[in-house]
Amino acid sequence: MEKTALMNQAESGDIRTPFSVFWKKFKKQKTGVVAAVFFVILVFVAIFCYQLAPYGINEYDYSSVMQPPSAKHWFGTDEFGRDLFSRVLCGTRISLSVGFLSVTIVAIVGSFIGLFSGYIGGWFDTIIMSLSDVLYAFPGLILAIAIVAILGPGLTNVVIAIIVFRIPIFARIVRGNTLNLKNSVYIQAARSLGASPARILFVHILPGALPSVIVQYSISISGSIMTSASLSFLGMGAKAPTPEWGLLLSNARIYIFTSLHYAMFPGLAIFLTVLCFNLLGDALRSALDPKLSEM
Amino acid sequence: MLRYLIKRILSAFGTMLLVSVVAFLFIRLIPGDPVRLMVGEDASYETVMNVTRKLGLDKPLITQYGIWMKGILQGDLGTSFRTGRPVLEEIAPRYGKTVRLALISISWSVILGMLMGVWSGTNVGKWQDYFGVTLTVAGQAVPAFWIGLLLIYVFGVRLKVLPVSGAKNWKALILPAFTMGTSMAATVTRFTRSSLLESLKEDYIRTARAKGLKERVVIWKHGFRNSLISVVTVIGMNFGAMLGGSVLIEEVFVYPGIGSFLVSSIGLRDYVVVQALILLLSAHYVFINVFVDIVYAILNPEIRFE
Repeated sequence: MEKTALMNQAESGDIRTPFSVFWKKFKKQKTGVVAAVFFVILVFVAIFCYQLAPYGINEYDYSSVMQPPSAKHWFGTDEFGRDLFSRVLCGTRISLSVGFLSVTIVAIVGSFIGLFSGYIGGWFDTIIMSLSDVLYAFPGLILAIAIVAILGPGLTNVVIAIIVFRIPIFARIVRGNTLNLKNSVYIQAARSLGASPARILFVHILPGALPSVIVQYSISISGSIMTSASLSFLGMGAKAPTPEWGLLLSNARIYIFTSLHYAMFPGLAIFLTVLCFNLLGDALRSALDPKLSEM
Repeated sequence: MLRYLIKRILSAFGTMLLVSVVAFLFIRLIPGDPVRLMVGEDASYETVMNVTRKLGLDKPLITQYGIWMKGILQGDLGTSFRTGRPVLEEIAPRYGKTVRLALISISWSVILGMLMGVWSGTNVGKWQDYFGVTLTVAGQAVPAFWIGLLLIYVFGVRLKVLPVSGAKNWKALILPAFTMGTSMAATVTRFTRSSLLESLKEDYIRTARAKGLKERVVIWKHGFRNSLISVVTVIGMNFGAMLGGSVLIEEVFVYPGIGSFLVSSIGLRDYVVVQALILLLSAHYVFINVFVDIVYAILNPEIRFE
């Protein structure tokens, strides 16, 4: 049998799937690749933190409190003699869980709202958009603080706060995409072929909005990790003895006049994690949406 | 233009009306009895009833909202439950301090950010650009409260050259203002750089160069000036967010502004104050955004005729 051009392409691995196109563009961005590697390490640490940690996270040792970094305790110890390295390591799981849990829920709920709002339009759209205007009217952290003030402190309520104040971001992005795609030729074609509204929404419009959602997903994770650390720092998030990074920093505050290491490492962990997701978001944006990459 | 102006201002008032409903519902949304939470578990039934009546929580919701709104329009934000003084009197001096801090932060970060942006944008691909971009990326990811703690350690504890808390003199403002402006400086650098790159691609830049103008004139007078529009927008948008972000900075530096007041009021369950602060901060944010939109419309005719 004679080989067709397509089959040749398939054998040499040159076939252009959406993923291969994406991967080719993504690979070119060095910072993005570094961030992706760091991301894999973060996830690994988050999953196996209890196996990796040299000490228990609540292993008190009153004979060695507030010790500076040493071979025995890489990041030093805290006010109860607990190993800071183990605690920061296990904080990864908390921050990543909060980030992924909240942003996954936000992405799904927000995308649905945006999809319906843009597709149905009319009064439904007006109501949804006014509501999102109201949520937008609160400067960043203030809304999260207000929500936690109502619900009470705790990590679960932090997750709820993040969800509420990030929903409008996703809703708007997907709504904008939906409005753009709604009247495009291929949607008209699908409609004229008798596709149901559900099919048009989920099979034809949603994939078109996906690149922006993915980019926002990555950036939102860094945002929500920062929010959760900030709220914990203010005493509204995680409670002791949870090794949440923001809470560790909050505890380190009173010791800053005598030692640096306690405040140093939890902050560094937040910084590197947020940096990782920001860079990943930037690289994804360049690879998925060249029009936006200039910003 | 006038039509756009009116439309934008009206829609801002609409948003504020909805925001006021949210802020109003704030106390009512707290699970359980907010009065109980405020006065404490051991308070007598009489005290609870008195406070409930004082806050007007015994009246129907609509009436309560009416009374509250009427008060706000007359400049009465309620009475602090803790000190018994009018909320407005409590907020006013702290508000001035927060605005002062925000203005200083914004000034240094905008100047530095623009200079860095131009420096980096005119040296694309060279070390200056890598340096600028790296600083930008780092500045946007660094937690402000962490930078604040590190600065306290270096300048307050080690070098002992700067005060680490309070707002007694200008020296006390240096560390908080620096901390507060870090992410803003990074954002301004990023936007200046990208919009400068955008405008340097334009035809009039080629014309300016062809005329034989000095490179410095081409960049500052022709390129930078035209990239200013988008930079101004970013600055405006971030100014509102900065007031919100002041909460963390004020906590770190024990700065007596409205941010730290908000946190302490939440801790002490002084909900009338919390409610007023939420309303105030979001009013700020909404109207700064209106102002930015209007400036933007003046600068960019395409928008106002949309």
